[in-house]
Amino acid sequence: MNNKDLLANIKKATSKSESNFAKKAKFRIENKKWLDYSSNIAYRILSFIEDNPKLSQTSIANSLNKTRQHVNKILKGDQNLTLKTIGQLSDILGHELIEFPKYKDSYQDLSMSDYSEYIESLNKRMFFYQDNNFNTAFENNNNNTESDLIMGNNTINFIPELKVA
Amino acid sequence: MKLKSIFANTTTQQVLYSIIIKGNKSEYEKAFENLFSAQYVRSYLKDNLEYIKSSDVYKGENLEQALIGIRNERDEILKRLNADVLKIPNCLEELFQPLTNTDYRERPLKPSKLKLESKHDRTFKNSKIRIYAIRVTKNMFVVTGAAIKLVKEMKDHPDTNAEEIKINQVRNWMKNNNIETEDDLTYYYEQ
Repeated sequence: MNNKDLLANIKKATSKSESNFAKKAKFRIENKKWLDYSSNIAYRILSFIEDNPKLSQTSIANSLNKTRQHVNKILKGDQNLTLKTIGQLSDILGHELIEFPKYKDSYQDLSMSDYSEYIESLNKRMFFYQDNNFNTAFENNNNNTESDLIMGNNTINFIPELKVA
Repeated sequence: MKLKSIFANTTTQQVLYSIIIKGNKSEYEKAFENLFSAQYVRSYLKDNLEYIKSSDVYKGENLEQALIGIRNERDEILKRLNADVLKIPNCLEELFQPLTNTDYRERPLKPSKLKLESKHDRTFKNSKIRIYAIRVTKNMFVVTGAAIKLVKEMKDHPDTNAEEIKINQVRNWMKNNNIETEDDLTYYYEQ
């Protein structure tokens, strides 16, 4: 068969309906970050529904005052959920669906007089590790007995106390 | 059955078709619709735990890792196989490989598969998504379906077994409709 005939046969066997898959694929690639968040939430909701016989897509829909179809879309993991909906879902499930990572303030010791003092102490600790290797720090600060270590009662002070001037 | 064009590029002369068996959606679109659904993929893995336990494909992975792995693999396929990528000459030829690993003999309507592999890193070492296709000629493929890999051999799971049967059905349909050539088509858009 020559190429011309083959192409004519392909044309004859090809549907006229156009695929919009290219657009969908582009959207998926460009929005991967939040779509991943959305499916992470969906996995968790599905898992909680599975463990709680009282929960169903219908009961969740009723609590959210939305349709079952809307909940179904959430469970597919491609809904751009609002913080309000995530909060409502967490309340309905009795489990937090998202957690917030710790940030700078989470580590700030308020017993220190001001923030610059805190930064200074961190810097001093950092320089300490640059100047001393870890093993030396471990040996110098290990006051635990062998049984403490076995029993998990070790109180090894990996970060030596530093006197802040 | 009907063919449906999914992506095409007239400059590099590459085209990816898929087969429509029923309705308006092609098997390629249907497969990705399932892969896009968190609910579908999770249920699929949970329904097939017995197969997963006895296979090496998911060794050492928990359900969450498997779900995220499949999701990332799906998105990587979208990145490697889309309208923009078709601007690169012969990219389809590089993406698809023979269905049977040892089948490098040139023959018409050769069963093929897309399986993510990277020679440089181990990210997709145990890749779990397969896209099945028939190679019509150089740079022209017809996708017949896809599967989430659960077991090593296609015949060992009803879904991959069904995909293998479907490949043969589509091949026969293509033969019956004279969509078959011994030659590589070049410049077919100008014909």
